[in-house]
Amino acid sequence: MQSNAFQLGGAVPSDKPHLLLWDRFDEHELKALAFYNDADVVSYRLDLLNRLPPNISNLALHEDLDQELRSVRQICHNSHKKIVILTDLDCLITYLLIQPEAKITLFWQSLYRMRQLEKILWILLPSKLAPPMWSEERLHRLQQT
Amino acid sequence: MLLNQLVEVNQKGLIERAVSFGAMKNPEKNLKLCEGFIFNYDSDSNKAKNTTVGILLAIRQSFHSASKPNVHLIVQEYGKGKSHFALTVANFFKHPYSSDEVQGILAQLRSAAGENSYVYEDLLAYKKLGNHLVLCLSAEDVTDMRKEFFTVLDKELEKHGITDTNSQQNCREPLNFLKKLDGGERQKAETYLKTNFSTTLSDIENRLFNNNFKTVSIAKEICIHVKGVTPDFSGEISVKDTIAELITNHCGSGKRFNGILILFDELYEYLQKWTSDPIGAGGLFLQNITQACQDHSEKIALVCLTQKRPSGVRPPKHGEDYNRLVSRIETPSTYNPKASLELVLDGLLEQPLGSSTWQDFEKRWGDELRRRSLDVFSKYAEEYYKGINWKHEDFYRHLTIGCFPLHPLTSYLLCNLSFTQGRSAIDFVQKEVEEFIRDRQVEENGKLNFIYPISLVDAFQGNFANPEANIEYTAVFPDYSYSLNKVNSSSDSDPDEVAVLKALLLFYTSSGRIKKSDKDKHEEVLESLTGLSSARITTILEKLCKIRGVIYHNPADNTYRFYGGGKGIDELRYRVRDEIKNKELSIDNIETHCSSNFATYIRDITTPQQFAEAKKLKAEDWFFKNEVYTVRRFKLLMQKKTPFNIGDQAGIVAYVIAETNEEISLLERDIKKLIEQHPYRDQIVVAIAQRPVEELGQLLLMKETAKNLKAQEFGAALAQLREQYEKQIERETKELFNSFTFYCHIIEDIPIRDRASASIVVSLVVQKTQPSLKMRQW
Repeated sequence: MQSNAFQLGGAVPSDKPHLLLWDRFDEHELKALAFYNDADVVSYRLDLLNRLPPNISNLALHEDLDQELRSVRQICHNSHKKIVILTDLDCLITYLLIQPEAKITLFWQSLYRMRQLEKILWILLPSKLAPPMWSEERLHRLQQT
Repeated sequence: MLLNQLVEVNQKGLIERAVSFGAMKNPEKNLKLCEGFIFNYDSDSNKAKNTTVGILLAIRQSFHSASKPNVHLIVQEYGKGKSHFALTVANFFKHPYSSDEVQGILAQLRSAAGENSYVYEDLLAYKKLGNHLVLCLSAEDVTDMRKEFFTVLDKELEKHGITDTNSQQNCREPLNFLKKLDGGERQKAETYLKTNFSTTLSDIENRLFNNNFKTVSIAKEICIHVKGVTPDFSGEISVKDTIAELITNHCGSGKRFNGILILFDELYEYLQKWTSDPIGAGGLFLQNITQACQDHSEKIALVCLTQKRPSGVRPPKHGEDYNRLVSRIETPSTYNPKASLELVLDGLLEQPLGSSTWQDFEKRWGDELRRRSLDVFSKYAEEYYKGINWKHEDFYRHLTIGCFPLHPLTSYLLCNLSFTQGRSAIDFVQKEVEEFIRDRQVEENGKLNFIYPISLVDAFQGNFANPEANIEYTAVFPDYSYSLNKVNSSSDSDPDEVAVLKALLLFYTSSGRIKKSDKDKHEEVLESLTGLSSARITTILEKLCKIRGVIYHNPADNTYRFYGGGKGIDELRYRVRDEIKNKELSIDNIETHCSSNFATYIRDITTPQQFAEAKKLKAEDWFFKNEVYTVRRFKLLMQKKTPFNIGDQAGIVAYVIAETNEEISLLERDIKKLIEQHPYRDQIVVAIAQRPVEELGQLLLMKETAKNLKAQEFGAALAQLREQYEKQIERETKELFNSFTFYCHIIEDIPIRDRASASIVVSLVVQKTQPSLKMRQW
């Protein structure tokens, strides 16, 4: 099956986050996947930049991970489509991985256990960043075309 | 007569599917939720404990006398209205008597318990006495509950105009101090922050403004640097002291609050996170609250809500601490409001019991209803309802008469099947039942018109396909779908065939709620599930068996079954996962697995090839032995400061594996120091795995569990699953071995591109010990 023909709408359970592991793709492929599924593509990075107060120079994201979790839920709430593909979360994950004080396991656990999301949420990540604890039933690996 | 001339659906009573404390921020929605919570109650004091009115009374009595329990736990599955109840309790204690919220709740209480009942009068009188400080906590989307506690507390206090508690001052004092710095001092502080923390003053102010306790210590350093004095910013704030302070200053007669009520939703979620990282998830936050409840009885109560009994779960880590914590929460004041849905449904469907219309109906159909009710109760429901002390009279009153036109088997299943969770059973009544009673007559063709259980299949279809909800569905549902498609694709398909297929699906997914003995006829069960006549069932079963070929008869237990692949691999996988829940994850086993697989991925030894070539020596004479260590064993090795046990080797390469990402980060932070401080540092190279081994451990446990299952019972699926585990373990192990990064005492002298090669790193370490021989470049 073509990567961009993968059906995102069949994710079960539909109120919990799913991972979409895709290592090499270009913008066109992502757009095609979103178009095929009528999904909303939302960048975590852009969302974060929009949320930041002015004149901030040090984000210290690891000190308030709950805020980042809430923002994921909010992204689903804000979207007008039934399916959301969240991109660029890798910037947060890599940041947390190199912060000795960051509670990345707790972050992944909270994200994994998140319920009652208003939209079907697919988090797009490179396969290397997928947490080992994430259930195989809630992730999908897309092959590069 | 149309059914809606006999029965009405109470559209006002609502149980929202996704209620959370967040709804309280929206006054309109919050009020609707308060007015729409349907309480249940039983005047029998033994049964009252597990009703929502009974629980509310128990919570209220926490503030009555020191002898009453003030730590309560409510256990109920998802989708049964637990969070809606929590929100209602919060509103009841928080708002004044005259508020719309409290009046709405009192109206529902009155309707459930009766206006003149002792319990209603007690709650009414208590509410008139005043309000409580109510803290609504939920572990959903929260990593650090301790921090969340203070955030919620401070916001709540601010709403009441209280701004001077220690917890509020904790960040505010340092913030005010920073704000008052003059131009020169600000400049000095900015330079200090830039050099030492790569941050700015406005960042620090922002973090303090957001109540980030961790920033207080930085503010303290700024004060020392700029003013030359150590300020009195504590940075540490205790949950226990905070509660004590609130009780002394703000609770009691003549004070703002009657007491403090802490509601903690999603307790199970918190405990899961706590066992994986106790400090990160909130430390002793919950223990401190239970301690405060003990120290200040009558003034504070804690109500936890959970979808699973915490004591029923044995976590893979921190078992003893977990049990201690659970014993503080899971006390005799643990409620299991199982029957609540029965009474809620009864309340949703309104029959005019005293009216002449109803009396006429009962005269004609009363015997039929009682016969059907007794049949369902004695065959299927009695065993279950015995647990909550229900006799047939209770069943008849609430589920047969009280839920008419639902067939008693439909109402019984609607309340008890696990697949009805998620999509609320209330939705079903308010939509499907409403439609049914609008269009249908009370009797058709001389028969009483019931809603039979098979109507649940379409209404809850989405939940069957959810593999996480129940393992039984994943095995049966695909077989059912296959059969249904086959029947539907035929030009002469008959709705009764579909009805029987649905009945079979219900039978096999009922988790034992619909039972039959081997000698009982399966046809009779299918009759009750579909409402079809016995003769019709026989005809349809024969057609499905012989013409459609989608089901077969198994004479051994007298059942009809779907053709299919037998037990599916998904079902098996969930079963294995379920079994390992109570098994301890052992890092030592993972270490053994890694050691025994060493040769496949990395050799047993590392030879300094480049060094040997440069010196024209035999590389084998200078080899380092590769060994796997857990973090604990590795730290012990390094703390000894004695020579490494290297025998005839030149040194060792310690491959260190860690359970979690946090453990990896901490080890990486300390590794430089650990190596440098070791007197024999030139004999060691350390490789740290960047991939945590927790998942690998789980896979090994699952493989082991699958090994003990019987092949005869599970057939091909078992072999397939074992193969899958093997592959997953192989993939995970390979990823683990690919993820090592190397460290040694001269790591900073080694070009980054060479740091990923064990041989080059070892070569350079050996070279360092043999400086007299110059090496050529490789």
